[in-house]
Amino acid sequence: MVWTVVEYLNYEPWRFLVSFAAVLFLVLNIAGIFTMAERKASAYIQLRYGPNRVGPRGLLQPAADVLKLFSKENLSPNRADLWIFLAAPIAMFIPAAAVWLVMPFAPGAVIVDLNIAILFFVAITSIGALGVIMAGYGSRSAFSLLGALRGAAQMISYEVPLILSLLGVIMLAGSLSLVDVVNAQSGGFWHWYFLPLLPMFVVFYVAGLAEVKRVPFDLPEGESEIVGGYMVEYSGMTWAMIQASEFAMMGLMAAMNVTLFLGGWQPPLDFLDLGAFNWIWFGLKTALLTFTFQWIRWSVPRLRMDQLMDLGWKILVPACLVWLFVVAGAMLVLQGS
Amino acid sequence: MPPASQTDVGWIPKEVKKKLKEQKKAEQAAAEADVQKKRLTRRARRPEGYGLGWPLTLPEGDLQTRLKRYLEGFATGMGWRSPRSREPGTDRDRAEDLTGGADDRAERLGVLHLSFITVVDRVGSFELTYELLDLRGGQVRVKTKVEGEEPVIDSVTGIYPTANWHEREAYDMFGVAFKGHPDLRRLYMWQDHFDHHPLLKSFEISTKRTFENLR
Amino acid sequence: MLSEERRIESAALSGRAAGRLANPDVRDEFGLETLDMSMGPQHPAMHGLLRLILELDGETVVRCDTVMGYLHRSKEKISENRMYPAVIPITDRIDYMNNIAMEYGYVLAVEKLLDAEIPPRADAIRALMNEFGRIMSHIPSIGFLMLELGAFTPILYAFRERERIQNIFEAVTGARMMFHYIRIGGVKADLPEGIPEQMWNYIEGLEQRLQPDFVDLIEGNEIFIARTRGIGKMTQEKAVEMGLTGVPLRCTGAEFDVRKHYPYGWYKNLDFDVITDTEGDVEASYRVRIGEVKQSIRMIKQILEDLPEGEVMADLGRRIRPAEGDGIGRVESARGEYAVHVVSDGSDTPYRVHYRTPCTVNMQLLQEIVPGHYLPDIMPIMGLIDPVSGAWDK
Repeated sequence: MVWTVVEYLNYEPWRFLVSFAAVLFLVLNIAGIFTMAERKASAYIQLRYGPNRVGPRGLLQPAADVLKLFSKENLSPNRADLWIFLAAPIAMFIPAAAVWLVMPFAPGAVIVDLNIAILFFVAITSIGALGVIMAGYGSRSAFSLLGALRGAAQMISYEVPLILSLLGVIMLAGSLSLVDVVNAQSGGFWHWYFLPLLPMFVVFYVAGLAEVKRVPFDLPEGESEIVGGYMVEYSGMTWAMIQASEFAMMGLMAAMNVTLFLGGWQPPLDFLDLGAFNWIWFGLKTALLTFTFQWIRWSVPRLRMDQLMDLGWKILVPACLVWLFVVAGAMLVLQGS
Repeated sequence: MPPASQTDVGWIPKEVKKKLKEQKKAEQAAAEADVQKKRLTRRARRPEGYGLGWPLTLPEGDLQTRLKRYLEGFATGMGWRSPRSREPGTDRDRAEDLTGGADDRAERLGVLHLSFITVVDRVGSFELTYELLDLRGGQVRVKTKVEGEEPVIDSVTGIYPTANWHEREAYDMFGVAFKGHPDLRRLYMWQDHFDHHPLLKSFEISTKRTFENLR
Repeated sequence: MLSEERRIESAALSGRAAGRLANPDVRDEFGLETLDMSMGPQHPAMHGLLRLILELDGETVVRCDTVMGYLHRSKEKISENRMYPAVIPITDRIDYMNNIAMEYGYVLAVEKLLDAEIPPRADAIRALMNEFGRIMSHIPSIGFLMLELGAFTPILYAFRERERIQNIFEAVTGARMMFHYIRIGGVKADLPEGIPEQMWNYIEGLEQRLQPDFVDLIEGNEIFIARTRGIGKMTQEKAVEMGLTGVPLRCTGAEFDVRKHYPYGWYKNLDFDVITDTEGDVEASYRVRIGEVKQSIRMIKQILEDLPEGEVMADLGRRIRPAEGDGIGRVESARGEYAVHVVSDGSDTPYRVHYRTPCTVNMQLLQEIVPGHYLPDIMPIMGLIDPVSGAWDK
């Protein structure tokens, strides 16, 4: 009986609806969990307690936050371009949610095994920049506009090293499908791609940090300079949506990093294989990377715009290109084809 | 002569045409160079007449002559009354210390430094105190008096650029105008719609307490 | 974008506050206009309530105009209408990061008017508290600099130190922020039992924590160096001309310290160095601040080792009524030369009190050196000057 239901659900349009609901559930939860994790991690780094009042050890704080944000009024500036202003959070949220559709969580557990999943990832995350521009332009504030300009420049610039570093993975795996990439990294952690592609792993990590606009690349927000940048005029649920999409994006970048360079759900050693429960490995690795994001965030100051561009175009892109040739040469020599 | 591009003639001899062409080319090159120059200096551009635009030269001479010159300048050049820096009851100026202190250390940074300008409203006239420091232990206090309800006095921003905001503050609080000040606006109070100078003795405050009963 | 009408309106608004119309003809060779931006008074990096009217060419600032007065409480007028001892709490509220120096300057001025003799123990305690006040102000200002550069953690470490010093202050003065401790003729009360030992322990601990918690965390950071080296650079001549004092002057290499060159109170007996740096940029100011904290630690140790015995309050009579004349008290506050000019007319209340706060003077630097820098460089430059809203507005 149960299996008939499951099989039934596996057909369109149910499959689509169920996976849509699952992804939405996942993304919203990730946003909540990461908010909480961020606050706790920052608290421990800064010798504080962090939220510890709502629920056991403050674990229900995200729920309380969401309740509070729901009850807040949605303010918009007097002369704002309302359509653009209200559409911007959605335009930011959808890309952060959509890429999870192609993410392999465990062996066989992938919603859509797209054969161009990596291209899909690149294409969809680029839409995020559009949301930033819409938010900054629609708010009609000098601070927002500056933030949006910074955000657009930064996100488009860092797409280039991001994509270049993906090329190495595509070359090694010989496929654009994330499932194939993960399967190609099986058999112990020395088969993971972060070893042969170490410079690209670093580039992807740094460019990913810039893509999700976190310290030291949080110039579009620039709390102390342009007071929140493109999101300065948002409040209540629209603000929460931008925040949620940022945290989901952070989780996505960590998960993508894991999938491409750290073996996805593959266990570090063969005897640690948990079968269908290999999603635990995926979760652990993602959590670890997310923690490093937070660690960096609460330890270093932010760059300036020109320094950011210098880093992207003068260091990351050349490093990637050089290593691309090295990998290609090595493949030519080792495989002889 | 109008620029070559605007001359309107029917038929032109070849050599004149060539000349005009060259002239036009040269003009274009000059314009381009101008644009290039502008582009190069764009970052440092500042609107004309803005801000503190005095020449940035330090006063010359050794400490003692400079000090003398300052005092003479205050006495004569600025049209002030005689400096009362040795008035009893105030801090004594320590010019004798300056002679002894003019060693290499004092020479390295031997410029007088304007510490502050105090305006005192002696109802009917204003007393201005200029506190000058040598940054090496010497200090000079120059006092001057201006009469009248709307007093005007020469600005010292030419000598001490730092006096800019001191004088703006004095203007704001007492209405003392400074002749030759580059940018005499109010410092604290609202520029428009506020016609008072709050530190004048005639500006009454509601919570004024007198201690007559204590005396 | 902005409609023409709105643009003119906003230009008129910002121009009116600045006292003149914004220049509408600022266009570059591409026909692009500059962007007018009003930064503040409500802005997280403006150290309180400061408004900067900026004209931006992309991210480059071409014009910076400082508008202040949003926290003006007319301390000078209030001081004229109070009796001499009652002015001290008013001075507390001028520079709320370094209150004890503010009290000290005023009290010195009144004592000069009275020609009073202060007991040595009171002088030593004043210097002791003043140096604690300097640490209490310098360490958070390093934290603020980092906060404005985007690093959030150092500010909390800094406030932990400030909190501990505040605990000591609470035991000594009874208050955590507005102390009202230094009185005309001495100090309010002697140090309580056990407090000198507690101070010593704290200072020893701070000496050990300074390296790992602040220097190691900040100094070697590549991003910190990239953001601060060469930013806000000024020459020594410029600094002297602008009348700067305190850290902004000393970081250009000019050796001037009121404690050294115009010594007052117990500082005549202390052995300390004037910390200078040659660079004159934001990074240099950070180094000078760390060095000054170390010097303060050194001074506190000297005072605690050799604390004279005796009374802490001179007998000046119940009513303080100085003779006619003026008295000037000049101290080195954490931000520079702080001077108070008290004019007496022989009555119970001062005839005129003028506070020379270092922040007001040092802030002239903003409109001088900000044009030409990028917009995010304003924040480190603010960290270099380190103004306090209450102090520049009085």
